[in-house]
Amino acid sequence: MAASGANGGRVPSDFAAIDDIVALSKKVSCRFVKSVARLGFIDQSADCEHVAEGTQLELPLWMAKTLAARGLITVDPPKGYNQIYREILDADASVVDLHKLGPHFYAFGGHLVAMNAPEGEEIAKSLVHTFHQRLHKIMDFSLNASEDTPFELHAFKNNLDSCELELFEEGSNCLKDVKKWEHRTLDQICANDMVVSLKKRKRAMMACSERMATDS
Amino acid sequence: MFGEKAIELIKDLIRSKNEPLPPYKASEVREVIDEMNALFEMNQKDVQSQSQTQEVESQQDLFTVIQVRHSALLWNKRCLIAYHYQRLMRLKQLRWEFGGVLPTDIRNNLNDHEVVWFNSYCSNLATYMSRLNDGRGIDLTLHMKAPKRLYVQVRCLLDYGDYELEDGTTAVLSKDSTHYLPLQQCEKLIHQGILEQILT
Repeated sequence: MAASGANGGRVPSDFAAIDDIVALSKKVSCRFVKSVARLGFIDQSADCEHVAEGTQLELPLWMAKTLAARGLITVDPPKGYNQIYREILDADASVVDLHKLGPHFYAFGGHLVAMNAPEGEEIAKSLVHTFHQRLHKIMDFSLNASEDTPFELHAFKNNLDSCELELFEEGSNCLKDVKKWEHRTLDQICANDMVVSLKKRKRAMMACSERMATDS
Repeated sequence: MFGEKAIELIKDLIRSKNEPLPPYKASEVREVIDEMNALFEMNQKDVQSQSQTQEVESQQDLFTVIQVRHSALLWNKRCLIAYHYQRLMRLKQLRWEFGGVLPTDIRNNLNDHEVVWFNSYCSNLATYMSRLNDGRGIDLTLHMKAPKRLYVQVRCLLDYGDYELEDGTTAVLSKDSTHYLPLQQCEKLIHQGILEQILT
């Protein structure tokens, strides 16, 4: 979740991280504070050569970063980061559906703060506070919830941000390993995970094609 | 809009999280590279025309335009690198799971360069593993769990054919047959899902 950027020309550590890239591709609404000649090509809905002052555009975050660095646009904090949502998150973050707001809520927020968006400091504080509030519940669920309550588990997992989901999976995998150890299934030598999943896929595909053959 | 084709590549990776390796999107990659070339040429043209205009105001705007295009260029580059890098990491994972020979339906999803990379990775790994254990070699993919006994009871899950053991005898591995084999020699087949250990 570290903010990437100009760190002496070095490649940031999350350069090839998929989550970070997807977070950067999310759109934010920007307003031009200066008119720029010949920049019309970034707004394909309007067919003009120049971008006028006051134009409102939805731009991906990576482009907004470039423009904001030159002081040409102001970025409105998007839903989830604005005043109203910050208050909701402050009140009780554990009930908010961060997947819907994100799904890369923290990564996106980190980039917003890094580009000196207005209210940046408040956003940063709210991100930390949100994570702090939710972490405990994530740990609880990942270490205790079992397959006996699939609906609850599913509903909970659907609320998580992508990096929270990673934490959750880590925890529940640990739980599975401990269970395995308790049941002494560790002694058995098994097929590799990917081999098993490939077999399952093949079987499902064969069943599907058989069904299609009988239907026709 | 710039960069949208590039992000599609990344999204394709996310969608196929549970597959071993999705097909290589050659035409999409080509399109992204074409877009990058177009961006580069437009920038080149602008940079050359910039030396003719003298007004400070219009120069400022021109710099902005060039920089926006340049950032789109970098963005596309980053997406392409990430796409290929993540595929290679998955391929590496596959080498450890399936061994040196990939199943044909995965092999069909590779592009030519990836095949070359995979082969050289395999030979690198083989060289490394043969150097271990004082030059006698050791297969790092085996012995992940402490063995309980030297021989194990196994059931065959599919028709594999004849399998020659180190002592010269052959076992006919036909579907649903059971065998009593040295663990050392059949562990790989268990990992590959051909045999299944029977616990008694």
